Amino acid sequence: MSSTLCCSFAKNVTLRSSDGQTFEVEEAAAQVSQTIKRMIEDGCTGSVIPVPNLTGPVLALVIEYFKKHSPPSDGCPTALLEMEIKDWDAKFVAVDNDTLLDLTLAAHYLEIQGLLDLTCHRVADILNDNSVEKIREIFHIKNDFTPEEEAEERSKIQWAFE
Amino acid sequence: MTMKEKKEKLELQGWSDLPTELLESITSSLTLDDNVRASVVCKRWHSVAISVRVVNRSPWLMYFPNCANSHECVDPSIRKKGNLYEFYDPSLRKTHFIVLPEMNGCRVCYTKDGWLLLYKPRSHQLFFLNPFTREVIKLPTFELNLHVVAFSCAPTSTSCMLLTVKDIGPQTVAVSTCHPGASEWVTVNYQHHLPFPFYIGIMNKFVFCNGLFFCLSSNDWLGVFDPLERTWNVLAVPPPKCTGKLLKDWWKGKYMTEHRGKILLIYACSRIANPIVFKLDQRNMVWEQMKTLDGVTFFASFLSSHSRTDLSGLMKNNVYFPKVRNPGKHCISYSFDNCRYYPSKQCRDLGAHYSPENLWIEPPYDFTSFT
Repeated sequence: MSSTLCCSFAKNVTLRSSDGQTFEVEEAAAQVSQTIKRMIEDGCTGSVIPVPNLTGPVLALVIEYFKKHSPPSDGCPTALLEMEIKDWDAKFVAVDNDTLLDLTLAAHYLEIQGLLDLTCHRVADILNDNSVEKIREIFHIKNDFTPEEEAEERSKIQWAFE
Repeated sequence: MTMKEKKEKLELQGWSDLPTELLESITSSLTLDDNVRASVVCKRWHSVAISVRVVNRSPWLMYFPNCANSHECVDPSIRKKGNLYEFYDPSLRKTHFIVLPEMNGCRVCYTKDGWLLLYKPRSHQLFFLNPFTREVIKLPTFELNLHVVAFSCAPTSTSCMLLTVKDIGPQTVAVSTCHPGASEWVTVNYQHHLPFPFYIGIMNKFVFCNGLFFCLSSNDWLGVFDPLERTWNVLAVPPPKCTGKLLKDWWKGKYMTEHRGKILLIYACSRIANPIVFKLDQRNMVWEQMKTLDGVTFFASFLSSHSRTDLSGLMKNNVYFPKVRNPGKHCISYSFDNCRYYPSKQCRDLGAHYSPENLWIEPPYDFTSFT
């Protein structure tokens, strides 16, 4: 009974993606994003909050993150809860590279520091594990060095390739 | 989303268009090795990776013509003049050549922050030379005792101070100081009432650390000069023990440097024992032997020594000595991880094979112009 009461009192906001999909989410959860938090504080809560840089599927993912990371209604997060969230986070960013890019840009645009740290860390792990050629392939990056320039760069720092 | 749209989206917001601040945040979390590899991915990554790269570059070994190996010298006529100096970069195993006629008739006394302090014994002239920019900063003349003189930081800094110490009695030293722009040297005599002599000799070492000049005597006692308070003290710290028979040129095998505010002594003067690094424990007034180097690399040379962290993995936990062996262009080093010298397993008597004037010097920031 009390929980129903709580939820019925929780304020919701509506977010609209670039392709017109709308999502309803608790205001407290959406405030995980500093950008949305500012918009709410500026009084945008009455209408729908537009999120023009994110497509529906990406916004749906971000809202999942919001829900997991919204401040608990019953006080301090426990150590167990924190560990659970950490595991959840690791799974959350174990996605294909296009989605990882979308999430990184979304975290940047919406100013979600926790998600940004998470995605950047994941990218750093990928850079850590792969050769230069593989990194270019994974991230679809065109090598704009001339062969001579690249050879020169590599010879300067040969130790990093050994 | 149609394929066309998806393709457009990829082109608009691919990984190559990642906002610079995000790329900075990603690359700044990488280790040095990974940062270096990321910098070769494309030009944009290159500029970002370099902008966030935290790397302590290795100092360069400056060689003096009388002992340099002439294999690589292109123009013998320059070498004949004795003004061609070699600068060896151990991290890239590359040698740079610079002609420095300014050094004619000079002795090198000290180096710090990429500057050399030079002395002309004939005219008692002292001056700073930056061998890379060729800038010269003159100082008032001074008759130097044994050419033992040091300075605190680059002479372009307003806090730069020079110091020399001279024995004038069994328990008296004369401390002379000067700074760039001064018209003369200031000398003050100090007494130290200690049961041991404090010998000033050619083997003295100077290190400037935490605002104090530390001066190691020939018999390894430590004098401290405070330039602000203008006080002189000899610390009651007994010299560390050097075990085993000493090398013929043992005096070339003692080095002093500082690392993160701690004074360190490197002893590589025993015929049988491996090099030892001691750290000054000022609370208990003892030299404490370091069991591990904790990733630090030391560059030891007679006139001034350096310590570095964040060098490439291969260089960590090593002491680099002021001698390059040809062929192969390897610097002689001792690895604390493997308890052996490189490249040769028996390379203990290295003191005999290098000029005490060979020294490690801070390299210039933009070294692409030196080939």
